[in-house]
Amino acid sequence: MDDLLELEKLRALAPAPSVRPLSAERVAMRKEILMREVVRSLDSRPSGLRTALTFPRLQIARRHGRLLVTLTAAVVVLSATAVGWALVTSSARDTVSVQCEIQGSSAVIPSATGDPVADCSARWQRDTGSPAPPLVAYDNGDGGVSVLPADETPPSGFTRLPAGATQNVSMVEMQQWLDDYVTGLNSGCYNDATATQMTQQALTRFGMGGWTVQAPPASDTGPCVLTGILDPTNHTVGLRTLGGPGPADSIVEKLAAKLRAIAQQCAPLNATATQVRSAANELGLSENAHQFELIQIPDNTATCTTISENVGGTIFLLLRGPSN
Amino acid sequence: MGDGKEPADAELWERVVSGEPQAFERLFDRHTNTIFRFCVRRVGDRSAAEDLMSTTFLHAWRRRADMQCGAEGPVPWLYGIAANLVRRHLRGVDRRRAGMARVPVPRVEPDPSDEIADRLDGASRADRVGEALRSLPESDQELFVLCVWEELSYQQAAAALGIPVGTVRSRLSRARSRLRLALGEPGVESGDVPSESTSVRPRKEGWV
Repeated sequence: MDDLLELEKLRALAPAPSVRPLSAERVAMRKEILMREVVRSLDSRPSGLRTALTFPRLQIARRHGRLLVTLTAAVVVLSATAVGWALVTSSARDTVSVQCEIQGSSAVIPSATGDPVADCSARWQRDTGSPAPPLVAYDNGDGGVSVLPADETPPSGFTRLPAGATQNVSMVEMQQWLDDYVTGLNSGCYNDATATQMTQQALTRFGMGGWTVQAPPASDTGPCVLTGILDPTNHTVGLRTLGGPGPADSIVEKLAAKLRAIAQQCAPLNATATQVRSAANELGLSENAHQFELIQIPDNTATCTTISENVGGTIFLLLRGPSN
Repeated sequence: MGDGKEPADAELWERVVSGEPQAFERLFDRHTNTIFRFCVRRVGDRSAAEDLMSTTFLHAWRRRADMQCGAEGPVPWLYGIAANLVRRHLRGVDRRRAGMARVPVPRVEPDPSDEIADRLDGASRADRVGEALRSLPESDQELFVLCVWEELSYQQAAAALGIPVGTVRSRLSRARSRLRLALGEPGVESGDVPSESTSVRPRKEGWV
């Protein structure tokens, strides 16, 4: 009772400032990326290990086991592999997000280019307004990639990755398509059969022909397939209907409609970027307020610029196309 | 849930530990804004708070096997994760602002109701309250926000921060003395305020 009285006195001295809750749209965006991580972490595990992994000691044993297997493989294929990290940490390489440590804050972002250092540098610049210091990518020992400033000591369990190491770019691009509102699985309300067919075609397009597509589990409810989870262990894409579709008149959907029209013009990268910015601004979205982030990825082998729109923390607009 | 009754947090958490994403999604829906509000009140920046909230839940999922919650459910533990992340964030803010004699205090984004309250109450008192809070050691500020503004019980706050309940009690008592002194409340002399050296960590970890 004395404790309650003490607290009441403190509240009377310093009343709590009110805080406006996050909007439903922001919560939905945050939830989407979080749940993708959550489901991926389950789906990417071999089924026999799902229970065992809850015990840290076994988790370490699993890592060591995997390391042994990959190191053995490394001896065989060393000469054929250009980037060393694929040999050491294939589980971390086969990921589609990256954890950026930016001035003490941690943010998990969807991979944009597949280069974790480049992706976190861009995020750093966006968050702080100043260029990123030298950054280093690590296998964080939890099946993921973390990027820290080079002058920071990594936590125990982190393994430094070679400079220039990239994630599996095919997987990164495939995940972007799975989550894309412009032409990907989020571009409409697709049933299981249609989504399976579209996903199979996309896998071929991204050079993942050996992968197969699995329909959503019975526990998923909802009429539309909204995303897919990549399982690099079994080379499968598990379709999901996480959380049900968003409202059709949401900003994200309205922007997607505009982006579809822009993509059809087949313009070079910079010209497309200008149009995309203006389309976002017309809808009241501000780049400075971090309501969207535009990422340009030059690809001079392409004839047109493609646009994808992903959500997760903010709206990511990824443009890939020729410089001229 | 056939009877339409919502499962308690503790029950949902048991399902989370067994690896059920849907249960985790429901906990996220329930407590997103609770953790977000705590982060805003600690860092004073909605954008940073949103990242911190999101990271809190991701850490919770990854470390779900480490947390066997009792009947109170996982919320105190979520606060604990958020408090750790906020501390790291604030240390980063400190580093960013290195060279300044004193770290400016993050201000909680005012809502219209705040502004009205300020006008009615007198801005000077609000300023003095803010100043007084900022004069507390960071660990006391953290505890103050958890217990006084977030309304956690002493036991919940102790569980969240991993400290004894007695420490919660003594720190809050010290906070009240300091606040009363700073606000010129009657009956408090400077000698009544316990010395910072008794249990407060050094300045180098950063004031908020």
